[in-house]
Amino acid sequence: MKTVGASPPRPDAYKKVTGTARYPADLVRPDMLHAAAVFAGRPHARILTIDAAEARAAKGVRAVLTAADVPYNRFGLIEADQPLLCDEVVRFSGDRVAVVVAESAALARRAAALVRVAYEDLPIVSDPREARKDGAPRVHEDRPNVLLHQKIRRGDVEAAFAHADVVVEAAFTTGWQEHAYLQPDAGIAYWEGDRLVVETAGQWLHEDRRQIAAMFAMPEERVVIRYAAIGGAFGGREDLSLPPLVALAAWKLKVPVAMVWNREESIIGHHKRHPYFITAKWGAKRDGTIVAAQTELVADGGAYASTSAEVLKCSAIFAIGPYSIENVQTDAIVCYTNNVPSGAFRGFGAPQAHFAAETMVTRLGIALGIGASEIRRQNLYREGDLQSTGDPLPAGVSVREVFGRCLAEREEHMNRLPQAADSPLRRGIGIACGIKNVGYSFGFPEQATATVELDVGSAGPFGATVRVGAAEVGQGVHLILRQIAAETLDFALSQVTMITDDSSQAPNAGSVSASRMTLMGGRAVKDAAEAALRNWRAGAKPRATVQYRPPRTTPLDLETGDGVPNYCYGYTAQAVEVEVDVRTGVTRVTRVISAHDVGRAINVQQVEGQIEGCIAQAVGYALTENFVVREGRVMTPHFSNYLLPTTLDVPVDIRSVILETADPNGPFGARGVAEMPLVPFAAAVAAAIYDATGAWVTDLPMTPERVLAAIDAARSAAAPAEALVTR
Amino acid sequence: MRGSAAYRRRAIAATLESALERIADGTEARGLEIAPVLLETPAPSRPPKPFHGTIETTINGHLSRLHDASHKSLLDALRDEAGLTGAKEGCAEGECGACTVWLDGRAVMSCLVPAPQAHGGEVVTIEGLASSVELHPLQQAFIDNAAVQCGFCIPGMLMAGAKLLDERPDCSLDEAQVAISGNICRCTGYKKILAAMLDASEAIVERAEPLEVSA
Repeated sequence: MKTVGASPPRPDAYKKVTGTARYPADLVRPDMLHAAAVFAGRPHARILTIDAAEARAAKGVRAVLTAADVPYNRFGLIEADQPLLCDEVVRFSGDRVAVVVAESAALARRAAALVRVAYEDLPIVSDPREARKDGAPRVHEDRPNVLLHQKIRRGDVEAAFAHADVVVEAAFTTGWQEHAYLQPDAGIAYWEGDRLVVETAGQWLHEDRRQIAAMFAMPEERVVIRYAAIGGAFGGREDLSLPPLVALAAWKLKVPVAMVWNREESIIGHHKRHPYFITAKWGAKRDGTIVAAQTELVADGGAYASTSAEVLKCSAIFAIGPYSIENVQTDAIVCYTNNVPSGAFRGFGAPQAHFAAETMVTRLGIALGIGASEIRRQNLYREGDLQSTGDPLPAGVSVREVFGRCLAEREEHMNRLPQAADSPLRRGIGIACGIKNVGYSFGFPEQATATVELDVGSAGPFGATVRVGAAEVGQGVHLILRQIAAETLDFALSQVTMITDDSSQAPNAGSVSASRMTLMGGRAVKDAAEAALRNWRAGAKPRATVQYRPPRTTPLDLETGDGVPNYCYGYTAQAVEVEVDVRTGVTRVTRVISAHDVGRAINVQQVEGQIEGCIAQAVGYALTENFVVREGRVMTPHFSNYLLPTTLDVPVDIRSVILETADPNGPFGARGVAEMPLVPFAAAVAAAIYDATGAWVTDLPMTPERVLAAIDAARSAAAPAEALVTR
Repeated sequence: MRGSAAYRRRAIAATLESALERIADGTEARGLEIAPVLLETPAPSRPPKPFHGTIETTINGHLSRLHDASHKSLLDALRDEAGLTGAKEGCAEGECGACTVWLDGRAVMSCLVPAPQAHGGEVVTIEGLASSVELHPLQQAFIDNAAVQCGFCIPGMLMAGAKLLDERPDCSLDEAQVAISGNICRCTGYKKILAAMLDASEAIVERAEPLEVSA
């Protein structure tokens, strides 16, 4: 091993530190026009008329495009239920009704304000609990509001509760989360011969191409997606937002067109992490065995389907956390509403489910008098255990080792600091565990394809060109894949050339999501490199294209949850120290230990970067990022009212603990890591706040006001806020 | 102080109470810096220069004339008129710091600065941070420490960080944190950025010390 396991610097860093990396808003083409979108600005309304005469006559305007200009006006990752430009009805305030194309961005924006749309407002539904009910206003006339109701039924929870020694019940809510990738949505589009090119940012070249080609009724080969430098994604670029709008303008006008959203447009215009309403009832025996878990999770899917159904299925299987429980009843429900659509965001349904599950486990441990660590030791998954879907966990169940290491690190590095009895600043420590799938679940076709071609001289191969359509969103995957190729071929990094950012030049490796690209793309690159070597040794052309397909998964039975959900999991455990000001409720995270089984750290420095960065997002999710929507209107569309963690909010004392239990399928044993630290973090913070103050906060984010209210409630109540029955 | 009116009243009262207690104890200045980080270094004072619609300013050492920028922010002027796209727009309201450049020796958020303020002045952008022969020590330290992920915040982060190192080469961790507290990074969690700043600080201090010459 020379390259794998080392930490060579990132090849993209030089351009990024010198300001020469080109992001989508930095791209310029001669004679380029500029486009601006007309947003609905209301959550639910029928479009009566669109009067674009004044806008068309405005200075510098070349065109105003509406739904009538789109050949196939439907798109979506899983279900094509979203119009590119609304024709009859707008379903959330960020819906688009027109695109204005002008000679400058300023002129396009000015003219966009002149497009007169007459609406008839329709009744809105802005709460998924209301949307479920009979008689609720329908978001889509042709389909019910309930997008998915996934059940899991294992054993008999009622009988188990009757025999349990302790039963705990609680209700939780979790908020929306905005990706806030620092680079707002932008792109340019133009014709190259008979091919329509879209240069932008995204997470999956070939899926963007599929959807855009369908919208313009073009064969996929005639659409080319090229990714510029991408300024973060975190799941937020998985759904198409701006790219098809700028593509429409160029497709129609046959000239290069650029479009750049400002921050407000980005926040209003793209999907969010789902907010949840969760109720949970868990029971355990006096010996510490958790015998039953009953959970209902109701999520707000917003106006369009996006990946809601998949997110909720993930929440359904993670509603019991990483624990072996005999009796499970889970109902995971997601509804359409007239709110901003919800979709993929780092963690994909696991953080919400774990916030409830991990809190329930800690409460049970406290109620039983055995504590948060012991109850976990007794119930954590073991190798060969069944999931709640009835299927055994994939080989390599390491959560016990991960948890053990986390506790050992806590003993050594997270000593309890002395605190003065009269100080308003209270410190506490909390722990939590987590499980999250790596790769696509539930029978979704999972594959990654790579091509490797060797340069061969008289002394043998001296270089390689790797083609793999994997988006570099900042996570470092181009370096990781290059390291895997170099290691496999016994090359230096400099001998490997990567072709990754053009859908016509690199094969489909799937999306950068679900922490999957190191495992999936890495395995495809490794297998293709080995095949190219074999071909060369056999005297054939020293080139190979390999499609890697991992062990198959299956859909879940809707009524029972039976199925094979996943082929790989990442496991994690965290210890978090907080300091709570009991006068104001202001809570700071002061120290973090984050332990992860990554299978194999291809690049230790980059793995640490994923852990540290994910924890910063988790601090925001747990404490500061309060995304407010009222009656379908986003009240926090700016960084001045949606508070992202700064360096003063994120602890410097983050201890990344990296375990390497090889995954049987991953390249050199690697699993994924990118999402894992977000999974248990909020629950660990809640447990730390409880440790510090005796108060349980059950709503995310745990704003100072909520923390203070919980402290008040704990002080005034003789009994804890939730029903706690001890037999 | 964000929350309901009732919460804000209570939190402000509690904060005020603790402030009064500190004043009564005579400890109100504890924890405050004697010399706070300003992110500015002395610049030659410039005589007022009459403005006739064209902005004349020195950008990265070269005199530039920006003809169509008098109504723009400095950020838009740099990006659209001067063709320097290194500074980024992340929020256009001074919250994220991705647009940070130097104007007359001071790190500023260029999205909030009217471009005419640069008339007769001197601007340095990320494109001008490296010398003609080598990267600025902070740029190199960012590469070495893996402080760069998506990279969109990095131009602003570097301009704030490098200004701190100009202001006080031997900076502390606290000072480094204060210096970049107006710069949001959504990818790295800041730890490696801070490590890079301290590494660069060390490199700069070492370079400034005279070499020991053995007889």
